[in-house]
Amino acid sequence: MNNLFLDPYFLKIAFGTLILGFVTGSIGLFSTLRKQALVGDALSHAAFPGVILAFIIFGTKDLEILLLGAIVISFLAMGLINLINKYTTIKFDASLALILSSFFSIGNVLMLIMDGGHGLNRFIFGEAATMLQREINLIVIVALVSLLIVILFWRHLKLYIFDQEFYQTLGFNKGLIKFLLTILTVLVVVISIRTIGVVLMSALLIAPAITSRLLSNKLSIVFILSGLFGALSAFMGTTISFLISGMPTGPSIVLILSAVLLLLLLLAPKNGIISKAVNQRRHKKLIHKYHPLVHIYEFNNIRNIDTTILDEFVSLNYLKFEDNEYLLTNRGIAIVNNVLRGENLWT
Amino acid sequence: MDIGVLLIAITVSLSSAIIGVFLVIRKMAMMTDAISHTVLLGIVLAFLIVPNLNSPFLILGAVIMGLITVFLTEVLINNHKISEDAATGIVFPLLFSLAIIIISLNLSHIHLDSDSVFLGQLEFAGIKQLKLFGTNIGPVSFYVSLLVLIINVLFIKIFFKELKIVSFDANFAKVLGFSPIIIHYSLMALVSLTAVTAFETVGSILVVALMVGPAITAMLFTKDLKMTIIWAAIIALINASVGYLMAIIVDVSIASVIATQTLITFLLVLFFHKRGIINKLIQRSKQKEEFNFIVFLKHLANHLNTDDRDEELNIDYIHNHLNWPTKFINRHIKKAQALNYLKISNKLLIITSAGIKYQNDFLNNINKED
Repeated sequence: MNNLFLDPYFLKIAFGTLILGFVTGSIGLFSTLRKQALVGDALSHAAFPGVILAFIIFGTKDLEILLLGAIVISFLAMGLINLINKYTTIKFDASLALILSSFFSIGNVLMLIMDGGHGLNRFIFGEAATMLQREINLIVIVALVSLLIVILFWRHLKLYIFDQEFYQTLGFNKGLIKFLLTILTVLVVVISIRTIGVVLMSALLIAPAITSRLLSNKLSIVFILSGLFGALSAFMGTTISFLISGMPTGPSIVLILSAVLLLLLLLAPKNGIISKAVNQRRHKKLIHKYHPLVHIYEFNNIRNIDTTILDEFVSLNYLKFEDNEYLLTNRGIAIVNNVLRGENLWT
Repeated sequence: MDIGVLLIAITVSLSSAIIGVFLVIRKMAMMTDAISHTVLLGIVLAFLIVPNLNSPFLILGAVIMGLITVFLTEVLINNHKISEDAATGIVFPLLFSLAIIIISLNLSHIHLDSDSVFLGQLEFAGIKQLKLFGTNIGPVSFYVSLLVLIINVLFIKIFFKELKIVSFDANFAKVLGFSPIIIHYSLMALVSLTAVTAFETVGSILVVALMVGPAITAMLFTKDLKMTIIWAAIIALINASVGYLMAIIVDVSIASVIATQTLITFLLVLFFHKRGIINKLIQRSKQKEEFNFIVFLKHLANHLNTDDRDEELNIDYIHNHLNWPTKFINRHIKKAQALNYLKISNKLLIITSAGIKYQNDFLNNINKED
């Protein structure tokens, strides 16, 4: 174990996957928030024939060239999906599914035509162990460029994602920002398929976003958190695949991603299953306790209410007893409002 | 040419296509992608219990895993406000990763390698022959896929009304007294069953094309549910046959070529059909041209008796008033002259009574249609 973390070869690759995880996790947030989470899945499958085509045309296995092919074909796929969307009534997910699987099979046909693919099929599952220094440099460059684009267009991205109509009424071009988001997604998908593989790509784009959404409602925080979750999972997944021989990288990254998500689904402070259940119980108890107050607030009578309870409320200054009538004090009204709205239950 | 392989390709395509129609109208197209991947975990887990690749328990395991996928996705959607596609995109990679990890750590010696998982090997499906009374009566895979096809057809035939109502209006189905959930899960069980039989022959990614492709191709030109199913079946038949022939000619994976053919058929219909993109574009430009012509005539008619007619109707200045390029206007002038809708006197464009009548009739017709 100690040896592994001193091994410069491992450290190099771990650094690469760390950066990769950060940029993919954070960029994936945008498509997830736009409810187009599976676009990444489709793009990664569509990129596969691009890789093969680039190899056929240029006859080289340089990652830059292969990824260029992937980018071109991904854009073609995205254009086709948009075309179908514009001219037909076919739903987005159906066209996504068709493009995904048919492009992948075109890639397979091409791979078979040129006789087995010469190791190009590592793109299907991904392989971190054979990452070269040049590829790590490429990942760092793409990551920096993507993050720079996000920082420059931050306000545009934010507004577009949450309210497209409002964004347009402000006079901005919706097509341009959509194009920008597609570029970002294609870029991160293309640099990631080498490591995590075509099939499991969607998990690295979606899971960090969902995980960090459980923790915060502020876009900038969620963005950074998704990056961190992506980086953490990619790093740990790579480490595990180095430690256990025969363990594929992509699946082990997905396993860590899912474990982190599951953990936070249970334990997240506000939106987690446990804290939600606890809050619900608290709320139920409070409703039970203050039910008489709510009754007085709603109906202005004390029918069927035990007077000992009422006296207790009077002693707590929630009610006052005037002219033979129980009346709510301001404090009592505040309590009733809180119970009805389900707020500040623990104060 | 192996007629057994062709028959397998056709039966698998048909059973995928008819069940796919319901997935598409229920907006669950991406669920096929998820299920077709996760059935692998079912197969692997069942194999760990019953170590026999030919055991029917593997199919049972796969169907159960398909249902678990749907269930887990729905739990995430309903309880945690996670959108449908995001939930799908989390659940299936997890289950699929588990399968891949189990295979690569424990079962690397058996025939479940990644290529056959993704792409299938239709070529070898014909090798295992079913023997009845000592004679070969065809490949086993053919009978399995035929059985699945019959189950799918019967299910759709018997529960057509229920499927239709549940797909288009689940709440109405509830009111009528049958449970949308039961229909939903039986449909999903059939999808898993179809996926797992297709899995062996065409692989997990390509089955998505077989399920979704014919359905959405049919939906490009028909709106009736029954006709959609029939057309989807016809298209699937064509895709499988053409794909098979092309694969034999080029000598590559049959399943991949069939999936590619599915996309080609879809694109052909998308572009060249009567209501396809090309016709739509032609129609749009025709409409635009006609509308511009009417606007032009209307302009002439409006200014026929106004004080500024010398300015507005002058052939040298009219492009400024309509803000159109001169070439564009000249085309309309020529067209109007040919139809006898206008005459030119003293460089002024004077609309004739025929022209006034034409544009009035046109505008009146538009009003009537509204």
